Amino acid sequence: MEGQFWDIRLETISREELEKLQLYRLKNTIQRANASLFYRSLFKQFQVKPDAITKLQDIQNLPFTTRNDLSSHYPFGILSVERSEVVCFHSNSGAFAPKKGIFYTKDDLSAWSALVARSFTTAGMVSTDILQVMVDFGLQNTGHGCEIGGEEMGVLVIPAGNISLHRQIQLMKELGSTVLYLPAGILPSLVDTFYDLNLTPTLDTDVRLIIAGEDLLTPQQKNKYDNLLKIPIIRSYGILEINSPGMAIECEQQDGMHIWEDYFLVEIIDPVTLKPLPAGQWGELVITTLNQEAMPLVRYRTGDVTRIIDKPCGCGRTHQRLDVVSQRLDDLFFIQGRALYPIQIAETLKRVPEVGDNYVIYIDTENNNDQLIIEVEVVDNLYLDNYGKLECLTKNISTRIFEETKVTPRIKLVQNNHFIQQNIKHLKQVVDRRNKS
Amino acid sequence: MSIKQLSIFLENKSGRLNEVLDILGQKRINIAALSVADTSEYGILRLIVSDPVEAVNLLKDKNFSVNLTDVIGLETPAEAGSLARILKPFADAQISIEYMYAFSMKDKGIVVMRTSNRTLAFKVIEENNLKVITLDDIFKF
Repeated sequence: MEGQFWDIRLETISREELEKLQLYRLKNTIQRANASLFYRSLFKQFQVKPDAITKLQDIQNLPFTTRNDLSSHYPFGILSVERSEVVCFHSNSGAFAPKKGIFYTKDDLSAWSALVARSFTTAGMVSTDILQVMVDFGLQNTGHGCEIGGEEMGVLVIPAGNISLHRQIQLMKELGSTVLYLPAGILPSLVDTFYDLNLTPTLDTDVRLIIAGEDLLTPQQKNKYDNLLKIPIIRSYGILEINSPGMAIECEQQDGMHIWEDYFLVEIIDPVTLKPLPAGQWGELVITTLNQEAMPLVRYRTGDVTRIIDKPCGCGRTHQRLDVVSQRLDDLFFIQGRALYPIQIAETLKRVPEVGDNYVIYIDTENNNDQLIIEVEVVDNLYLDNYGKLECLTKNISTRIFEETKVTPRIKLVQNNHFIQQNIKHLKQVVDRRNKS
Repeated sequence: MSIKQLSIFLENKSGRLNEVLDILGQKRINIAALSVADTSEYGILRLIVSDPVEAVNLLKDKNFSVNLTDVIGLETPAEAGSLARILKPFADAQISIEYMYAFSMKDKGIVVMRTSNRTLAFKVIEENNLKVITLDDIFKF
């Protein structure tokens, strides 16, 4: 056994004891969930008796919770406590994205900060580290989670949100940051910026560890950026509607992410039959929160495809490991480290009268970076008069998309009826042509 | 006094220009002048043709994004300095030229242009006795 623990007792708890704790917490969770409008009616509909849970497997008799359930009961429908008891709220930022919100009580916040501290310690961070958090702070929860988790550990936290990568690198040099938390999607631009500034991360900064969250990071990508930066990259898993970060993280073995099973009951299901799959098989990750007070979630379908690595880990932790998230089942996609729904683009385009409602979204790799390309039809022929007007139109669309998504797209205007005429198969869809290696 | 010019939105893809030319050619529509500039994604094809209204209908039927724009045609003698001479009054009157294309045959030059403030442009033309040409003139060359 090597490496650091935040809470050695809970992290190395025997499976038997862990399952006992899970069952106790599951029973509480179902009781608590039943206090929300959404679950009360869902349980009624499925004839779930909150006190009928006697063993962990009984969870399989409970109904699922989906992303649509969260949006359609946003914001208060899934709240299980009095509104006066919640102290914090997080949500997604786009005006047209399906809304997901999460509330925290005071106890939720302290549990969350302990989980983040546990996660970051597992990743290899220690109290003398300086943590630079390279995500936007605000409505999304990632920045907040990193901040409270880092503070819990006693590290210096630099909330470096919404600034250029050049400034990020300045901060690393000025303050001597040793650990970076970042969305995996900005790794390519970070490498480029170091290169442009003629700096070598290992020589010109003290950064010794990178924790990458949010986005999928394939094994090939991880290898590539490990080699380019010469700094180990640790994967972190979390979702907005529960905890991000603070759900699962890689230990120094870097072979799967330990998911904190004292807080989260994990199932992998076949997304078609919805039947649970045995450990080791790839399927959709389903999470039941075991300790959330404000907003417990029961059998929440994350939309993330992964599998459980069903082998003891060399680090000594007994919590199961999740493999790399290999794909998403819904239409959420990540670009340049930001989560986007195609509907955000559809709704934005609807508000531009000069273009049609049809579009195709392409994601390409250009100069190692993600590029969002939106093809859209010009329907207003008055715009054909001159290039200036067409350029204004593309700029206008690009600005609006940026406002909504914080990603700058390249707008490709095509002629009216282009999609029908050319028999384009991916109408209103995302075509991901990125180089995943 | 103006000439009706066709403006056609063309995706930057091989074969698109040919499609337009084929459609017009099959209906015996003559092209007197053509201009196309490229950007990375798309181009605007500008055409002066013998029957602009018919051409627009034909292209619209084939789902092209097309419209008619009023442009000014001017005739100049084909000699050194003549173009500068006829454009100077526009500059003096603060009229900007959005785009233009020009060609010369034998002893004559023809300038097709789109300007800001068309009313003022025609005043400048009158005051300076510039020779405006029409679609008929062009096809009589």
